[in-house]
Amino acid sequence: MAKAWLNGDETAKQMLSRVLKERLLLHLPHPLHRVPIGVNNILEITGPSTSAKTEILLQVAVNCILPKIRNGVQYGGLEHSVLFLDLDCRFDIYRLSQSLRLKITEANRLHKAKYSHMGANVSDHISNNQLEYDEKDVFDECMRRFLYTRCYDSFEFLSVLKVLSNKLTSNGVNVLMIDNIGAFYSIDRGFSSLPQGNNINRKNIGLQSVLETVVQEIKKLLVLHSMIVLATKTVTNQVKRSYSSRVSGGLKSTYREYMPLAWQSIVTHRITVRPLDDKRRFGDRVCYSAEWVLPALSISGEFVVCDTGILDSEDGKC
Amino acid sequence: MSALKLLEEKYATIDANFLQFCASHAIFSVEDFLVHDVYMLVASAERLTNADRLKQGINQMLSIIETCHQPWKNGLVLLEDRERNKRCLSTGCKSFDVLLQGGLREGHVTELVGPSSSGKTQICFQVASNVAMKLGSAVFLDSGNSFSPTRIKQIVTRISGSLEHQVNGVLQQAMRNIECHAVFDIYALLNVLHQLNTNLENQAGCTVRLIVIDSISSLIAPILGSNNAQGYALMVSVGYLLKKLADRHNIAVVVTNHMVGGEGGNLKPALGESWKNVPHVRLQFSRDLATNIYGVYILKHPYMATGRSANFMIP
Repeated sequence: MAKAWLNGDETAKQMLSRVLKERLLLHLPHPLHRVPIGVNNILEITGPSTSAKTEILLQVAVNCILPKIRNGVQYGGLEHSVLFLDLDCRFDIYRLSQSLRLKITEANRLHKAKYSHMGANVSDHISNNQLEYDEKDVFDECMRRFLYTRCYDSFEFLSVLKVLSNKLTSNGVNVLMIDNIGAFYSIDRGFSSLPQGNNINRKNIGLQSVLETVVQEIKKLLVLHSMIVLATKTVTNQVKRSYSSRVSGGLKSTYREYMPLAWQSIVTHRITVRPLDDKRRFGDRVCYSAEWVLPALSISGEFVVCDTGILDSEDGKC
Repeated sequence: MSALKLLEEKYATIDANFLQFCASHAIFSVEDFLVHDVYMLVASAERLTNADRLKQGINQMLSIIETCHQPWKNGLVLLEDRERNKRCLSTGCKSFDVLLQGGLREGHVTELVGPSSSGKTQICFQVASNVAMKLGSAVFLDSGNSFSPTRIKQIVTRISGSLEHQVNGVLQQAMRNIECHAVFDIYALLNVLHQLNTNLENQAGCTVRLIVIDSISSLIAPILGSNNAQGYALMVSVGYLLKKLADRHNIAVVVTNHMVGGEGGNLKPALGESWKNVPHVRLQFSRDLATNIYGVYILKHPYMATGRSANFMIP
């Protein structure tokens, strides 16, 4: 007995290979890259309407679905599937495809430049046709890794989550994106006030019970499959400023938390984004500011959205 | 989604025993089942004598649930659907179309927001005339008696560019293709939209390309208030219904939002913060009274930068 205990469970090499393999990390685009998102983490991106929340999700998605390397071309992606659950029903695939195409073209351009730099004539190695063909292939491969569905109400959302587990392959990490977890808030809240019959045992269907089930299903998914969950949450500015905040003169707008505790408590990481209202433009573009709230970092960054994606506003021109 | 009782006829495994088992957990409908933990149900079924049969019932329920949500699609399928089915409808103003890369897109809900007489209704007329002449039918939901057949006639005549007597055929077709409903409250609006949805689901080969709601703000603003949760629920429901119609039947939806006086005398949209999240595209309208030039400014767009703008004239 005691000997078995002394023998240990695995060698350092085994442990390293296990730990290093499972350690998939998602990096958000600059300037939000400071905290990497790991397996079983749930990130919430909070902000008012038009604060580039969906754009952040799309950039992470592009990074996930791109391959690491194909035919010698470095794409630097993670080669993972992304499941995009659209609760706002406002998603347009064009933005994702545009951004993806630009990234693929750019990677190929760099690749060609590297070759010609080394003195070899590119056309000797690969014909231009071949390259274009490869680009199309890589594009199709990436787009197939992006899976999408939309929900028009909470019950559709619950249905998706309930049967999602069967759909996911148990190998490999998948990334689940939920575009606006608070989308059905006002509808469900309206439900709660309706009379629900006189059976006291029957679960009251409404905001609380729906979100508790959502949280429960997500927790189950995390146990069964190693996953990363990214969710956006739209907040409104309509807060009647309390007396204390007016006195303290806190200009920083704080948004009212409206999601039930069940949801708040499973969020492991949180950032807030907002458009900068002082009309300070970067070229012709609106600037957004982003801040880590959980874990709380005192540094906040500013960024702009270009055709290729998100750019740190300190990194220079688009 | 429905009551479990109604499923009894269709599925053999959902029998009286299974219904009784569900009733003991206070599950009477598919919705009730959705808010329950399946593992707990299975565990509780296992304690009973007819466990296998009950578990079959639970599995049957799960496969029913699978049909209760929209199918998963991959990016390529989505892109193909968009390129094949979601076209752009011209606004009738060149610079406006250039700004929007072709016009108002089918599948999108586009909001036009601006003060009164900033060109919102005129753009709605122009898009509707264009659609009715060339592409299919347009549904105009009018909440402020702003629909004017005379104006439509003018626009159609101008677009077709021919003499009065030759226009007649085109004009008749265009007029037939525009369906106008007067709606004066949100319930009437929901009623018309649900009816439209049923009609579209039942008949194939339907040609509705455009739904205009002028103005949606005068229907929704009255029901919003700080202590009226139902009002917000209705507003969001209308939004989802419009987005569903737009996506499933490849329809461009245009809604107008008027402006009211806000703090400090500045104008602000009648539907403000809580509405912002509903439409795909938000366009701000303005008009220079001296030169009669209209301006449009992108407030929100799924793939274009906010802040771009264009000027146009309404002939």
